[in-house]
Amino acid sequence: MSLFDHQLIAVTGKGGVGRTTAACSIALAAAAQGKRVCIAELAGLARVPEVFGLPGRSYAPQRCAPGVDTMSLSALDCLDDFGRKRLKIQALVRLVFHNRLTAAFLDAIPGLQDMQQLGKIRHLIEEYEGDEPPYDLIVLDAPATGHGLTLLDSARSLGEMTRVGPFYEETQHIVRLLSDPDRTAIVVVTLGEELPVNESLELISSLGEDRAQLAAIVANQVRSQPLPDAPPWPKLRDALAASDQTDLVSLADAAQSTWTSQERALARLRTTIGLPIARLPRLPVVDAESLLILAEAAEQLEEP
Amino acid sequence: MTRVIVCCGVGGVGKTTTSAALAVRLAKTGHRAVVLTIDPARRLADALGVELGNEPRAVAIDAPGTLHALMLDRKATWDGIIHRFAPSAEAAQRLFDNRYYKAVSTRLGGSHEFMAMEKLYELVESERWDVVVVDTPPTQHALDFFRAPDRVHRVFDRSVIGILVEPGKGLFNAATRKVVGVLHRMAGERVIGDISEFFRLMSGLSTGFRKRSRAVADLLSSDRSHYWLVTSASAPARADAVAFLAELEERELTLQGFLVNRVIPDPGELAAERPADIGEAEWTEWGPAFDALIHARRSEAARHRAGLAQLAQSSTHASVHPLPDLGSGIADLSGLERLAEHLPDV
Repeated sequence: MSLFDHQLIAVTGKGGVGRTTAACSIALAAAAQGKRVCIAELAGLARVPEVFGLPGRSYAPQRCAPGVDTMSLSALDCLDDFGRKRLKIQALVRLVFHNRLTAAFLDAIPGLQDMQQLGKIRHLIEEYEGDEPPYDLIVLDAPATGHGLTLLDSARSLGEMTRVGPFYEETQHIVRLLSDPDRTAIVVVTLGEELPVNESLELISSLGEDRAQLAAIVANQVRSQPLPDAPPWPKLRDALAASDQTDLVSLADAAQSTWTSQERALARLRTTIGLPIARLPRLPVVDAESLLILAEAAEQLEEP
Repeated sequence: MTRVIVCCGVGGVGKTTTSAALAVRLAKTGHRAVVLTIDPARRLADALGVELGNEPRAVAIDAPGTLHALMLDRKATWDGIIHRFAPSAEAAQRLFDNRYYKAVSTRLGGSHEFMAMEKLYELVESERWDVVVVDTPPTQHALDFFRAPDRVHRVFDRSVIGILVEPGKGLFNAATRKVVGVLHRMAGERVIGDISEFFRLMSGLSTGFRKRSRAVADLLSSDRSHYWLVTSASAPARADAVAFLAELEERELTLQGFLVNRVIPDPGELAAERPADIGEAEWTEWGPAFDALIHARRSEAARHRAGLAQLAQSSTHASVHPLPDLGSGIADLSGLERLAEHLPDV
């Protein structure tokens, strides 16, 4: 099935690989196929509004491009929503959820904040108000720490810990959605360099049983081949060195070797994982305009 | 007296590598240095060529000083604390078996940072080192590192959590009882029971616990602790760095300087000329490729130069240290040694 036919794409990767850029590109590419898309990010990490030149983050959806909204999920807002659905009495919601006890509770139970945020996403997909879901596709900008897909892990372990009650039931719904490869796709973002590729391989192996949802890999900031193939570079290199252009030689050598190790690293990733890699070109700035170029590249993902 | 060098910054800017290179430089200049990495990715181990654990391991280095490295193991550090402060082995074991403790010690938000501080305290207290270099966890906000312990303390603050788990023990108004009732129903009684047992078991431990974290907080705000911000010359990384600086200042911490990774030098007047023994036809393909290369390099260098100037303007006292791009990532000790040569003395 096409990547864009999923209901949720979790875009993940280590810090500094341009996860947000990749998430935005994927969202724009899906919107170009006619999908109604929302980019969800976790508050505190909110970069999406900045990329699109919006003034700031908001829990209420903001339009950032044709067919694309963005929302920043904060745990307290999400808990509020959850409470409203469960308690149905507005006064009680205010009493319970705007309370320092509740804030302490959120802090104290590991995984509870993650669960609230994922719960909100699940509600957009499964328990929407009205006749049809507000979006065809949610693209989640999902940070990865050392423990792989932390969010899914924490839903599972919260479920382990609670075993009964509304929180438990919610975690079970979340786990069902996130572990269904027909509804949820994981996209891992990487860079074309040795260490980031190692980290991506580490991340992918930590997915364990969730490997089934891994649908694609996106390489960000990909450099194009700096020098033409013919005539062979060593011959020209000697000629340049002989004519005293050593600075040019070292510049070209460096560019060539950066490119070669990029190709080697990406080839290694491709062979190890067995999935095609979508390449997003390296651009001097990432903004609403240049994202369109990246989105075009992300359309390669449509047919994996 | 052991000094502390705190390397801050968001993820993905080479913070771990730079921290390790700083420790290498300290060893090279005759110090007994140890680097504490918290980044769960095993990058540092790759570069240092040792198996890193929760206790310092010696790195074989040709230097007048010494170099040790360790990688924080959050769970092991938690368990160590429980062993140290529990009144009996039996009490410790009951905590280890508690489901809530298991969750807290492996995944409580902020507990990574909290344990990093605990580990830092251990290293400083041992008096085995001249300098401890701390590679902080990658967070978007500088203050997360300092706030995390507050957060963990709030969790251990019986005045709040105590109400949640044992509402019968105090005189609370009807509204509070109502809130507690709803939270209990939502979370389920099993969780509440586990938490309540956890706090009963912890109550004997919390004094020692609190004293230590106050000592670390004092150390981190004293002049024995120096802060460096690791960043890169790209625009988003710089924006993060400037925001970070503001947050440090808000906490009244002085930033020593910016360590800016992967700065591209200007190629100067460089221009490509056709060598005599290359034919014009061949050159038609290569000439433009070289021109494009030089042009791309020149504009990248100009962006980086402007970026460095902007960083310099962002602070009256913090110095700016551009570090060269050493190619496709640093993968071994000699790479760290080369980077160390470009670092300032800290």
